[in-house]
Amino acid sequence: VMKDAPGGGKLVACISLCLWAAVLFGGIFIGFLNPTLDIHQV
Amino acid sequence: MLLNLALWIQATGFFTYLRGSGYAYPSILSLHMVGIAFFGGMILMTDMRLLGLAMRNRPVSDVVDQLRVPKRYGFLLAATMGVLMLGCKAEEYYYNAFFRAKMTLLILVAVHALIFRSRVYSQAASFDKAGRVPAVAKTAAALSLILWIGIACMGRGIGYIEPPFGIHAGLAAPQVTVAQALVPAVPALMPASTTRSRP
Repeated sequence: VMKDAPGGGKLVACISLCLWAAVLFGGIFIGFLNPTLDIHQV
Repeated sequence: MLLNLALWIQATGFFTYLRGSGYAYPSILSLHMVGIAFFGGMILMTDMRLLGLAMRNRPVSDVVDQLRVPKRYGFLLAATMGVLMLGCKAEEYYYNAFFRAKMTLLILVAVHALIFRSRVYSQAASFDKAGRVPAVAKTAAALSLILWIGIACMGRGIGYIEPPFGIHAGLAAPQVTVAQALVPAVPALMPASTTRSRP
């Protein structure tokens, strides 16, 4: 019988999910902020 | 008629606000991506198991049945955010060939579910008893993967087709963009509009 992961494992899984979701958010927001990231305009 | 409906929807106060907000639209788009990642991951694992390409040491019924509920949560998130994005730019999407292709593929996914759900996805336990996955189940899994990969590709294409010139002339302009909110001290760097569609 498979048991659920212990508390520490769940915490690590939650952090991993949050980090990957943040990576997606970051990728999308880069596209919306793109003009300000052009080094030639600084 | 459909175009008039699209115009009416995107002109409502709610969608005008979403479209004009520098934070809301990219957040909705990001949540759409999170939903797709969640949902797509479940679809991928289910279909790969049916094809015998992943998790082969787990019973088919375990994989298919246990991923069903989280798969639905992912689909609900992706679909809800997708509808919100559609409402924001309904007129633009009306003209977009990639959007039409995506909707066509979604209809084909519904047809796929009608055909194969009772024959394959609800019969996973019988595959375990038989000790092999039948050809019809592998066909269903392969078609599912092709359809969902096609939908993902069409979704990427939606953001890269320019709408007909001037169709947004009558729409309210964005009030505050993300870039303007984050870098208010450098107005020279701010373009007229930094909001773009990248579904």
